Amino acid sequence: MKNDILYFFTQIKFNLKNAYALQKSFWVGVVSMVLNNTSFFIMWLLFMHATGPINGWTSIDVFGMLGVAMFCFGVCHAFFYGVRDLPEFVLRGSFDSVLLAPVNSFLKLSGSSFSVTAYGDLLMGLGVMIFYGVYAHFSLYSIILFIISVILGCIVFVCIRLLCSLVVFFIHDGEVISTQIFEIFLRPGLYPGAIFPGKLKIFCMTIVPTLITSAVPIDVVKIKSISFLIFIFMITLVWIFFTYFMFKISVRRYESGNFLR
Amino acid sequence: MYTGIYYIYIVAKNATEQKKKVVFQMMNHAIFLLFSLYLYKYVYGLLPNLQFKLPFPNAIWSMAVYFMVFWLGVRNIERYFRRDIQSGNIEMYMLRPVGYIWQKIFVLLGNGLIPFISASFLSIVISYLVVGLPVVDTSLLFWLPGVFLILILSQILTCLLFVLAGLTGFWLDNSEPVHFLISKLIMIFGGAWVPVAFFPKTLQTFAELSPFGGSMAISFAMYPNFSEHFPLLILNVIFWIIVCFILVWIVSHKAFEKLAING
Repeated sequence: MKNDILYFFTQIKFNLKNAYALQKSFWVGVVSMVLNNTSFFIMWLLFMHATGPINGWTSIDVFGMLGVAMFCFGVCHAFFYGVRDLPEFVLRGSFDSVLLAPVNSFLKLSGSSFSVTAYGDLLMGLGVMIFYGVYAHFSLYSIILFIISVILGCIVFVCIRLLCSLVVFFIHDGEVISTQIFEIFLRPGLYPGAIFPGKLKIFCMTIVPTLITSAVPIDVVKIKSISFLIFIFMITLVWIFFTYFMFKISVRRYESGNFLR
Repeated sequence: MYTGIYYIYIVAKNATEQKKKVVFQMMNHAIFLLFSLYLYKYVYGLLPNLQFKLPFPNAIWSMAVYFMVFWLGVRNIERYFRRDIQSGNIEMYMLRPVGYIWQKIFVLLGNGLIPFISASFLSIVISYLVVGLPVVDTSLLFWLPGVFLILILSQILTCLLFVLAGLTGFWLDNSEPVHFLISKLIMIFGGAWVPVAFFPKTLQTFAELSPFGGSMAISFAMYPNFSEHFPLLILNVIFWIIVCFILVWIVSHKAFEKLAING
């Protein structure tokens, strides 16, 4: 296991080196993603300006929420981008190289591909979260709660990204379908957590756990409730086991070189 | 004209082969629409004063039509340009008897036609069944042709904006940042997730008069003051179409002169 993790980090290191070889292109990608993300901040800040605080959420909370969403997206696509490219590997039959490698298949797959623009999301998300923490005068207790909930958010994000990609093992030419399913998951997380009615909020924390990757860390800090964090932790565990189970089943369906079908 | 229609027909016919793709795209569209509807219903319930900024049915219709035209995929034209420039395949398309930009527009329309028609049907049916028709200050007989005219003109403007974005690829290595910038400005000032009526007055005016708001003028056509704003919307879109057309003409000539054939 230790070797697998080392291999994973080596892959990331070389991916980064590769991308940074084209320094100008790397920074253009990062900056363009920062520009792209800024639009969401502007849009929701204008919305909050029009509505005023909703359900105890202010503009700054929405700001923090978008930071969390971007960070989770950034972590998933900066370090686990291969998961996103899984449909392409399967359709081209190049998934063989992942299965035949003497390392953990998931870790090998995750680091096998790379997105430069995700580093824009990652850096911006991190910056916004730090700003939010400073602005909201986080105590040490809040910081710990926030960090744990953000880590859970990142784990759930990777699980969902992988589950969406696994569609390709069940539906032929599932590349676009996988993207569409992922978008269904992603979009609700970009709405301020405050405007979710109770039942929908629970639905979006459990069945489609998109809020865990965006609004939940803000709620955890606002409520400062350990039991709520444990509830989120349990949901995350369920999703991890479900993803693991589905990954095992799906991989068994793989036919080598199945682009010939 | 006939070549163009035939081109679009062939591409659209090919696109119908991907039925599963369209089905999932429409599922995504319907879920997102219903989701937005549910959220905004809750927000309007919490803050009844929002009705004075924009009535609830109009807010839903403005977002529904935004996402309806989204599926036509006009913004993808920049991606087509980028792909051809980066791969060098552009020279192959330049040798064809139809102009390069027209080829890309035809392919784009052919690919987007089926999702657009499906999304239009879904948007109209869902919005009508849930909130009824939007409250507008004119008769349906005047409103419908007006909306149709705005739809056509605004999509021409969107197309020109993204052609310009794509043409920057001849000078930049990667025109993606320009695409991001334009598409996000359109997203904000077109009222994708938040209707422009919620913005401060100055920003509303900017949105209505800018090419970015103009390219999504269809969402402004869902506002209650339609008859009052219709001439301004049309004139604004026509003005930006002329400006962008001239720019595309100049820039494309310079871009194609710059093209180096690898042979």
